[in-house]
Amino acid sequence: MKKKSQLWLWLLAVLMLLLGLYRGESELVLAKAAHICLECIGIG
Amino acid sequence: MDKKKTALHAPRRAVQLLSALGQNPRLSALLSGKIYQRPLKRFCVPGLNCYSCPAAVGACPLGALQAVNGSKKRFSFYLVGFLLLTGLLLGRFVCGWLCLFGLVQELLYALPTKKLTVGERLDRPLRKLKYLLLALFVFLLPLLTGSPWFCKYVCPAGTLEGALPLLAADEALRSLGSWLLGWKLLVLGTVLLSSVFIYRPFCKYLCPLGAFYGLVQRFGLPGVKTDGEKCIDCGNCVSGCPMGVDIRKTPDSAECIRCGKCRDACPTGAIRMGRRG
Repeated sequence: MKKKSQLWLWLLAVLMLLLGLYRGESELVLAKAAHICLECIGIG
Repeated sequence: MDKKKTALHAPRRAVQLLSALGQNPRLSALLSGKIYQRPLKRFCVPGLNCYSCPAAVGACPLGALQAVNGSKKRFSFYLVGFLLLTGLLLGRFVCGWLCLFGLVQELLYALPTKKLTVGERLDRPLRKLKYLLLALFVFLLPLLTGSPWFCKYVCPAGTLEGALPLLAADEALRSLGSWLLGWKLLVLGTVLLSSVFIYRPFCKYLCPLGAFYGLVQRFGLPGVKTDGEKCIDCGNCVSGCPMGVDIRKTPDSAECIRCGKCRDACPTGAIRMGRRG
């Protein structure tokens, strides 16, 4: 049972990652991470 | 006869330092206050590591998750997939071996002062706080308001790694400081001061990233196993665990950061760390 759940979770993780990449989410991450996050430093 | 085991403390500390440097190699940028803007930053590091830290070359998975959740995309499949995959591959091994903010807390705890143990009546509910922060401040509130609530109101790693060097290097930024900066400095100060007396208080009570990895840990690859035939029930593993885990009863505890202190404390070599199987 646990092995089966593990397998599904691995599959889900890979599918979600690929879907996210397909949706262009990594570009959004880059856009955010390449500039100073004012909220993170207590200014925004 | 078993081979004499090597204590994990020294190699773990070496891995922690190398990991901190590997994720933040631009040390000279800490003085200039210029953050890294190359494409590498679209990828996340496994631990809590502010992407506004001038030395950082990767993105913080928690910050990135809130950023995408708060954007027009509404929900981040990329980041949840990444966290799930990292959680399955490493679990809270990330916390114990790879996280810079975890290392900072450990170094403070190593200062020679009297140490405190939080009583169970307070410790139990406080441990649940990190799950609440994960659900509300990382998912729900960023989805509803578009603002990264955890980064904005809580994250002491962001204040330490991002705010302090940037504010020190840039006078214009300093002039923009408001009550929010004061609040974040107060949170950071409280976490750092309590780290001197309590082992990793942020990891135990507040870190949503540790909470996520903890939830997935029981399905992950790394495991800890106690050999019932070798175990003499001396309890050294329990008293030696700074996270308060009884590894004999709960080897997959969400609180176990796989630091290996239970293994080092075991006089008979009954505890083994490695790939689950």
